[in-house]
Amino acid sequence: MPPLPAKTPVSSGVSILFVLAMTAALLLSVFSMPSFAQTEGGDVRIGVLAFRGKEQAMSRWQPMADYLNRNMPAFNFQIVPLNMQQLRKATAAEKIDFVLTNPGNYVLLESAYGASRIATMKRYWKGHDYSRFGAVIFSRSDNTTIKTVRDLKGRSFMVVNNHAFGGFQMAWREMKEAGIDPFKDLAELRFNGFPQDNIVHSVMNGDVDAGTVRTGILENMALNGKLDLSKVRILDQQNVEGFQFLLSTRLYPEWPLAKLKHTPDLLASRVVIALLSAQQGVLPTDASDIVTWTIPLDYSTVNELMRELSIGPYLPDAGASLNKTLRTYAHWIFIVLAVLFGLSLLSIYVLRVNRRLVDTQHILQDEINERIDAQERLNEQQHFLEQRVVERTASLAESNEALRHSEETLRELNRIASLFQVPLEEKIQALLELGRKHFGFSAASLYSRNGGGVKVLQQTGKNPRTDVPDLPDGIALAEIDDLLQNDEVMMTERSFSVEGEIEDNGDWTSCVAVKVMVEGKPYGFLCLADDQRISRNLGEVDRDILQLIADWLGMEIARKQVGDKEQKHLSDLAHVTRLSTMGEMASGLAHELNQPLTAIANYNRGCLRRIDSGNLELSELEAIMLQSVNEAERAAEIIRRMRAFVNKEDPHHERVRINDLINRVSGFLASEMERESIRLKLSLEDDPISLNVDAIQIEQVMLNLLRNAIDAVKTPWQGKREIEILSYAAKDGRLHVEVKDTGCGLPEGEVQQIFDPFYTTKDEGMGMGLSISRTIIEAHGGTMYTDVSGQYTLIGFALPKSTDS
Amino acid sequence: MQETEEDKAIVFIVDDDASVRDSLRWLIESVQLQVQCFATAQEFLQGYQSQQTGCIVLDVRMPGLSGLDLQEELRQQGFVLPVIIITGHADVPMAVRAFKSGVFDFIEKPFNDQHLIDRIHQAIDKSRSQKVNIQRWQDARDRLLKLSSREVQVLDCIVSGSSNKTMARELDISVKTIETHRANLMSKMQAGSVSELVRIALLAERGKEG
Repeated sequence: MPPLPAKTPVSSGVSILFVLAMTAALLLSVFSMPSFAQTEGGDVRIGVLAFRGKEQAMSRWQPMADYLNRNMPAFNFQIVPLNMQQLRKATAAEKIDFVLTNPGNYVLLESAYGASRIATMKRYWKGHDYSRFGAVIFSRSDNTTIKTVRDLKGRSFMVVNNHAFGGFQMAWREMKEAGIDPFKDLAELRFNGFPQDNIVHSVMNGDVDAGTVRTGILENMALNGKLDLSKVRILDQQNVEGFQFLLSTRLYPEWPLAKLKHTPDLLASRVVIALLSAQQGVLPTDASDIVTWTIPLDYSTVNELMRELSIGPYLPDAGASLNKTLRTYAHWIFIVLAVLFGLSLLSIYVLRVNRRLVDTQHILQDEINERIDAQERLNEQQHFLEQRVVERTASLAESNEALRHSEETLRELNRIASLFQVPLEEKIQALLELGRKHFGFSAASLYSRNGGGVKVLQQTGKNPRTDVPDLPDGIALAEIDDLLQNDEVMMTERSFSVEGEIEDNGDWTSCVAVKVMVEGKPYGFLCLADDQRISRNLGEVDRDILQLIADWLGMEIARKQVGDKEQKHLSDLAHVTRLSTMGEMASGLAHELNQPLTAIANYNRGCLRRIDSGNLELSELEAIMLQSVNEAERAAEIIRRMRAFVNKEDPHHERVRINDLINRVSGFLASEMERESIRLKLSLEDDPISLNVDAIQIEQVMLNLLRNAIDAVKTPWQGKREIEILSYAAKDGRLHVEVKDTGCGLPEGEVQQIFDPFYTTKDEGMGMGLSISRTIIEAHGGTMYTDVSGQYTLIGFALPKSTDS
Repeated sequence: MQETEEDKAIVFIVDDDASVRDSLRWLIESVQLQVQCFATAQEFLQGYQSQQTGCIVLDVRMPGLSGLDLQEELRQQGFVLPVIIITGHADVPMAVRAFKSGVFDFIEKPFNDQHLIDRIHQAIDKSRSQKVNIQRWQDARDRLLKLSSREVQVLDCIVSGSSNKTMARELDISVKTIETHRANLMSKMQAGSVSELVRIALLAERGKEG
């Protein structure tokens, strides 16, 4: 059994079959008798295709064997004439060492058994050697219906046989190309066999319409007088340069001599050398068939033919030798086939499983591929995104830097704005400096409208012309007025570009101005200027910042104006409360004054009575008069103290120690507290902290708080009578002062109202004390607060310490 | 208690203000009254004698025990000297409280010296008459304490106007026995008649206010 051509892609099932087939082939080869040609000597068998019978073959090729035996005496070359099937079998069984056959047969042996050509035959004809040959397709010249190969359809056609290379297959290929299947489209395909001369005769006789023979036959017959070439029509005649014979087909290499696989290479090469060096005429005996040898030609054209016609190695089934093999090895084959059948079933099962696996694998592979694709797309996307992020980050970093700068400025602006109790001039200075620094100008000025002109209120930074506080060169006041009329930020079209640059020949080359409004009315303007060109791009944020600084300037100026008025008002208010406090204290003061007055009256009346009764002793009198004077002094001191307290002083801030204020106020009310048996405890901050405040006002606040505390604990209050005054510096940087009493407390739910004006729990109170106190504390930037529990009532205030700069 | 000392009334001055205290002494001594001064209520409580006639002059506002507090404290201790309160500024609630607690007078500074001295004299007179009444009450009380429990029962019946028969039935004793008790009773109470007996009995019952 020949091996199956392993054309299909190797899958496990197929490979199993293949291995089995190989095993079967090896089993068969056990029965063969191989010829072992020796390198040093011995029999060498040359199988020759005997297409015209064994005698003819022997007679034709024996001279070559003789020649080789002469040249290589150690060997005994024998010609073994074989038909095509025998030749094939002998090759397979390695019963011959060389093979000499037609090109078609050679190609088959080459592909099936590894025969390899070592030389190609040349034929001599009329002074030339021809190593290639073809076929001629012909009809009778008087048959006008057949002019081309195409016309052969439906005609009778004679060939040698279907294995004949030149005698059929060459013509077959051309017919097939012309669209004619010789086995279907012809009226009759007649096999003549050898000799080919008979085909020529049949055509010329009219037995068949057309026929084919190898090249040279017609010329040879004509030479021998057997044919008149003029009566022959060559179909599709081809003209190939250097090829003299009539020709209808392509040319193919002549017969090759091939060594077989087992044939030693050395032997083969010695044969080749012998043949190639043989002189013309040495080999053949027949004069019409003079043969020499040349180097082997390329037989791929033959292969092409075979492939196109699906014959030889390309034949779908192995052919005739199979039958014989089947007969010879029937029992073995049966066993093998049985095994194979069983294995095939298994293999089919395995194949199906495998197919499924393969399918699944394919599906998986597809999925994997899809995922890989998706991953790649993702990677691309990611890369793209990263790229974008990098780009965006770069641009963001840029604007971020600008924003950070703006943020710093804003924070600084906020800090300056929240400074309390800083003189206006310092604040304006700080704001101007802030604007100057933010925009990078060398000078910043605040101009105020002053009648028909302007005047510099304040200036910061380097000013090249400090002694001439005037506008930047090249800008008339009218112009600025005009510009500031509508625009909030002045950027003149003419003098200033939008970027805030100015092209001018004056000292100032860059200038930005913004209007400053005070309580909705134009006050002046803020001008940033530089004698260098500042190429700074004014963004939205920058404009806002500039506007903001201008707004704050306006607000500070307005606050100062209002503040001045308020201060006066506050001072008046404080005075009023003080008077009202005095009113509230009137009864206490009356009692205090009553004491010395009563004593004086008593002393004097006592004296008068003694004078009346006449028992006044002078020695006694002096002491009494002295006592009386002392009492009058005591009364006068009380009056003085009251007047000093009530006296209205101009409001002014001064540095005072808060503990001093506390001591002063508590001293003022000490006698009243003593009378009411109120225990006063002072818990004061050790660190002597001084604040820059209006002492009279803060003192008044403390007086109000202490008075309220006293009123809460005095008669008719029956509980504990304790008041504590505390002062301490808290962590928030503020100074706290608190007055804490154990008195009657506040009515429930009214804690929030105590700072309201006219809220009071006292019959004779005005309800202004705490309200005014809070106004005073808040005017100082502080806050007032309460802390009420079951045991005590605490009212306190906190003043910013940072104001004492 | 001696008769000679009865006329020596003393004016007690309690005031924390030294000059006021001193000047008051100077004024009051000018009308030949004896004066004793105390700076605080506590000092006074430690130093006074309960049998003394006289009066007390107090400043209403004093640290520690106030004038009103002192007055109430004295009354609880059964001290009967009239109290004149001097005040720098009088408010209505304070005056009401003062009078409710039996203050003799409530004088506002500045005051007329003659008014003060008159009120002091009146207070001393009251103190003196009070002292007589107290003497009588104490006598009646002493007599009452000498009675046996049966005699007290008989006395109660007499005061409520029961006849001897009724008494005998109520007390489950004979009329004769009642009469014996009644005779003893009249003798012990030093009463010459039933009406005198009733008056003495009521005096003893009524206590010092009478």
